[in-house]
Amino acid sequence: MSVARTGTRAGVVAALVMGVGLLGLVVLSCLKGTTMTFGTDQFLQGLGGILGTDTPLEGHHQLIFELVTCKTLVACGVGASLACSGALLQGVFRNGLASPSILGITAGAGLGATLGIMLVGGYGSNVAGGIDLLDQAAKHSPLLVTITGFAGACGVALLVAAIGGVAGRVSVPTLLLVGIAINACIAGILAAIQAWLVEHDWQTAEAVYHWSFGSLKDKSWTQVGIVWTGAACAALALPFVARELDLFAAGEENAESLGVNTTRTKLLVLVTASLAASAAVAVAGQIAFVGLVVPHLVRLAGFRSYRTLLPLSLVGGAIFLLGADVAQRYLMERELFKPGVLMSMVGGPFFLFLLVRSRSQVRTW
Amino acid sequence: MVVLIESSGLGHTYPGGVEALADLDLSISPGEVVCILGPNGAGKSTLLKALAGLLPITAGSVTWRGEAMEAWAPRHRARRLAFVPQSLMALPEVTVRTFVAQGRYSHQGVFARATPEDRQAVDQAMSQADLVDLAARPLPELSGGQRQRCLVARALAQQADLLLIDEPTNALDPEHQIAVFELIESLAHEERAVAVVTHDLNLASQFASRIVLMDGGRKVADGTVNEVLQRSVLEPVYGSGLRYSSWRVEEGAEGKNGERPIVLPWRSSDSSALSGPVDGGGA
Repeated sequence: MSVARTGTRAGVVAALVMGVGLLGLVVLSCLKGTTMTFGTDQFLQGLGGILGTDTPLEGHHQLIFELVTCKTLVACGVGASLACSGALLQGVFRNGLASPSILGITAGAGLGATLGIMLVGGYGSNVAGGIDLLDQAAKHSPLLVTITGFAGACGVALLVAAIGGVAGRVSVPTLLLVGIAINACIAGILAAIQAWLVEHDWQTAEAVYHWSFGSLKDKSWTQVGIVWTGAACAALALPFVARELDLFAAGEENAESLGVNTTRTKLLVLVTASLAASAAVAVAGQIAFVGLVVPHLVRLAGFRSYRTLLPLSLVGGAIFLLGADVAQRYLMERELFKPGVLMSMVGGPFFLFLLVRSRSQVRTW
Repeated sequence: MVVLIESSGLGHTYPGGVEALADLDLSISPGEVVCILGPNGAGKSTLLKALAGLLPITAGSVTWRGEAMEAWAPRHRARRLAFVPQSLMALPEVTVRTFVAQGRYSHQGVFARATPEDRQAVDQAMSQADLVDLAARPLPELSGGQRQRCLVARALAQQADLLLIDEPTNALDPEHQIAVFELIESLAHEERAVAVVTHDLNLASQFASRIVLMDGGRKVADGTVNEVLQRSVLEPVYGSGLRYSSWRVEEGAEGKNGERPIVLPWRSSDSSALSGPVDGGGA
């Protein structure tokens, strides 16, 4: 049988190779927008225009280049955040089938975004109806939806922690059950809202429907900032939880007996994983399975120690989501599938494969 | 006499109200191998976990060399006492050496890499537990006895002064049971003590320097092997299903001499006396 590659040398080599691959994908992504393609000269000039070191591209070309760049950076940040969040949660739950959605984070973002979309009347700006505040909000509806989505995700994460935690201690199995219960509650509320919207406000219903598929298009620098702040939070926490999660693998009591402050580790993991996933889902909508699939792909490559699994999931998530989007743009010449749909089509079968495989791999002492 | 750990009026009540430990006074000194005996549900494992800081203490106190332990950080605690569980919830898919090196966690900082001192501690622990030849083997491929030695080796790598070992010979054949207890016996020295929970009265008879007998979460006896392993002490705890005898240990055999008790579980319907080298005590 194979064992975990705990040495950091193989992990560093893998991270370097993946980093170079990601850089290549970023360039490929920036060269090809949905409506126009850029040459390498335009790429360098457009980049200089963003950084202020060169004159911007002519006319609307600079605007389109910046939209493609924002899309690229959002895809990297969302993929990295979801994958790292998934790996962190799989570590703390000691369950390879855990992902950000299990704590209700995705559902919370969905509820927040739905309420945000209802507030401004879809992605349009025609329904605010004379109320100054709503008129102002409607002009910035994508950002407002991001903020309400983030608030929903964080609110649900806090609620799960408040109900699942007892006297300052966090019970992982209880959290899991609370997450499942809250997911069910929110699913019911969302279904009721959508049913009402379909009958009374088709435009808003359509906007909610589109949001639920996830989207990387038309993102602003502010949204790039939100996603990358979430990803940075997760990345900064890694050195403080990676070795601890390796010791968690044989049980929480095992980790505690070796000197791990298990309460602090669980809180740090849950807070950073929630923040990263909340930011990602709030900006890009519901993109399923990245958080589940990517950590397992890294494990399949032999990197089972969390010291290598977590950073490689971070880079791997960015490659996975951006790679799928770039492949679609180059192969199909247009965005045929929303990222959420694309990821579900890849992730669904993989999830089933994991379920079947895990049945025959349960080991105990 | 130096006392490593001392509990006074120690109690633990589970959230549901079940009192698992009550009013337990216990002290352990360097050099001792203390075997903790008692029937199922007596509170033996709870006692070890309470001493190891893995369960909250709901009554009484525990001190380490006279210092209160309640406010100790987990790292600080793990450098002083090491807990060896009966088993792990899941088998880490790592090599034996990596597993043993996990014992160094409490000695390392956040960004620290393994120092020569860490490597030396791991080498020494593996050598003591006779695991050097198995260093590169994946843990899940080992036998039950080898895994127990890995758990003990990992605790040794912690370089703690007190080892708390929970039922180390569970599901092991007699040869491996002896090997594990010989290893445990060799670990107690002038600086270090070992407390072992076991159900095997005869292994305790051979290897313990002191026996603590528990029942219903309370300590019912605490003394030498000969003081505790006798009918008047054991029968109220284990009932009448045991036969009592003794074995003469040759003078000079590992520094021990004299009579060692033998206690055997025996079917209640059979009232015949023991014979052969065992001098039957009869039920």
